[in-house]
Amino acid sequence: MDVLNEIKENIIAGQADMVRELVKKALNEGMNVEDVLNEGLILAMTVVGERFERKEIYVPEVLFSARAMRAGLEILEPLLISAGIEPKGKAITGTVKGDIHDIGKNLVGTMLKGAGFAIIDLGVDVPPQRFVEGTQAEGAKLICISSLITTSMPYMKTTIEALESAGLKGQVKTMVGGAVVTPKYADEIGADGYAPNAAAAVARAKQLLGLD
Amino acid sequence: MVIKLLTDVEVKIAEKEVLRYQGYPRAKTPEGEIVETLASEIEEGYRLIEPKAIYSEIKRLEVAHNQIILENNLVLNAEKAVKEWQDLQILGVALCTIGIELERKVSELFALGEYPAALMLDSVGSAAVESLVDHVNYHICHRARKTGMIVGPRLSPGYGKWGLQDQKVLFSLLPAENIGVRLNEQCMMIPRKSVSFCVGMGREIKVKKPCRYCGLEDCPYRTG
Repeated sequence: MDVLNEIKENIIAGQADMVRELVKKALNEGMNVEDVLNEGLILAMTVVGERFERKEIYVPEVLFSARAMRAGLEILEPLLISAGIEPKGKAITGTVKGDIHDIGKNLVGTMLKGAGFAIIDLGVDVPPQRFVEGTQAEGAKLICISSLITTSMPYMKTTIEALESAGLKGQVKTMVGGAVVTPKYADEIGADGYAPNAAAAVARAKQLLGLD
Repeated sequence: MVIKLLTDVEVKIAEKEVLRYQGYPRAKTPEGEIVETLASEIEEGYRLIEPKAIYSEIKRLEVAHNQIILENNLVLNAEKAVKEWQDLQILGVALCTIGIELERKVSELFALGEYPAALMLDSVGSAAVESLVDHVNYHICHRARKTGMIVGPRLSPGYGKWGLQDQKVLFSLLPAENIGVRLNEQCMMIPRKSVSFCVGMGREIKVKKPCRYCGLEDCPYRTG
């Protein structure tokens, strides 16, 4: 098996230490950094996402793979930066004002990183204006907004309205999710997309940014 | 109004429950590192949790239309509760928490990129607080049986059609600060691994499957 396939298979199997060694081996053999990223790491996480959607694996397996992918990415990152290779996209993640749930948001960020995105995590209890400022400062093209309680859901709408008032509509895409959010609600508040879970968020993010 | 502080409540963290919170089907058995992480995070969970609960019984109340009207003009807009607890005589109100240390450790693990351990520990916390709730519920049932009361199913604001805003009513009835819990502006409990619930009690309460929301399979009072 060639080394890229070995990297891919070991990410799928969640073997972080092996991935670390294999990425070093690939680089030592003179492999192109971008190829290792795309054909080893990102391809592996695409397979993982597909298996999750088909219910062949579950969240724990996905996270072991994400951890293994991160192990490989930590070695590649300095080389990607020095070669001027840009991430696939830049996304903001945050949980709306008044809500301090963070697990779902963290999982979305983890999976998007696995797909080659750069993530700026604004944290929890994020007021609408901070989503705006974060987007403007970072040049993000995708805003992922999370809400897990009904009393904070209205802040999803005010966040989208704040982005529009700041003249960002058309320049960025908004994606919403969380236990209390539905596709219907996403449409009502003018979100560009909705994702029911972190794996689906990757596919939707790629669709919204034309990367699929 | 009776207020009881419970600090010596049993908590049992079940492996299947921890996995269920991560979407693992009951019929499926995990393997390898998942099993190891499950065991180590359950052990860590027992070390980190500080289970506490407070409980109060309200005897002066009235049921009207879809509301339970309490003293001081406090009203619970709980249509389902009114239906479930017909002939309600006493309202039991409880607040349970496992404290803040576990969720702090979860955040640390996520920041370190230890995603499997982070989510496993978070699920341990969820299983732990639900176990605490079951045992507090048992405590309530035990008290109620001594006085000939039947206990209806437990219900909480924020579930089904019961609006989360009614958390403010529960928190005005309980000295939540005594167990280190507070409510933020959006009625979210902090620490996050906290659960509030109400139970209706009465001598004439007739309800099908009153124990359906409780996980204590071996409870001597379990019916349905």
